[in-house]
Amino acid sequence: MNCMRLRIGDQSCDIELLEEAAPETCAGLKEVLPLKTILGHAKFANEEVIFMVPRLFKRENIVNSVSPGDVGYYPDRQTICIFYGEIVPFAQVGLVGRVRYGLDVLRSIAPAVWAAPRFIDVAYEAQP
Amino acid sequence: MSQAIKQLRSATEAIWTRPPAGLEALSAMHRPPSGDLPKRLYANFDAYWLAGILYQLREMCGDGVLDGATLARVAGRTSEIAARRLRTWGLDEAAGTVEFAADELAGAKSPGALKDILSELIVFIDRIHVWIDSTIPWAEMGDMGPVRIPRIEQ
Repeated sequence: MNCMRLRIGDQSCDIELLEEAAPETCAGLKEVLPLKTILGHAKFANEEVIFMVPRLFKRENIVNSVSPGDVGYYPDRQTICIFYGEIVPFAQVGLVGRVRYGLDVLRSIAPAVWAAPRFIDVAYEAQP
Repeated sequence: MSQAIKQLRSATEAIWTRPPAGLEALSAMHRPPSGDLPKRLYANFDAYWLAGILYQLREMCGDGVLDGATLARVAGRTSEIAARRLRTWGLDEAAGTVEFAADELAGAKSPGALKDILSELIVFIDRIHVWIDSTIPWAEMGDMGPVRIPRIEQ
């Protein structure tokens, strides 16, 4: 299982990459990581945090609905979308990952991120 | 990688973790009668929609509906106008990058070259947007006032 690890201050969150379902996006993410970027909060989809990556990837594994822990790529904005709770559907995303560890971390920091975006570090972790 | 792509990518790297020049000055800019926040909202959506429109033009590259020369011209002209708006908000360096890209877009020799330039420009503009967006107090703005619709007095 290969994953993206988010370092948010002294806390972390692991996202399993769905390499079979979204191979090009996952390969593209591997290329641009590690990365320091700005974590923000979605404005109209309720419990979702987001960060931008510096490349466009093609649309793949597009879904119409998501669940807590799902991770999407919003192709129109080169944005990784992490759904950490109750979602009000806003736009279609490509399903590219699943939070395996740290969903509670995201839930706990989300109000502060909504108040003020912050920098995070994102790394690629190859796991056996 | 072409020189234009390298230049655009380098411009994005320069603002990836450091705010673009002019971002703080945007707040202090005197544009009466509006105060600080309206300028940031306008600048925010100028950048947001430029990236959004360019993304749609990129999607049209090679679909055969518009020929490459027309797409290149539309993309170049759209970027040129958006650059002017960024200058209005004091984001001169960003505007310079968009103007450079506008020239490159207008002169793109193939749909593939056009698509590559658009891809890099979209990322650059979206990063500018992320920075402007992060200065806006969205959480506090939630319920600032009722909807007001002007009515014709009878």
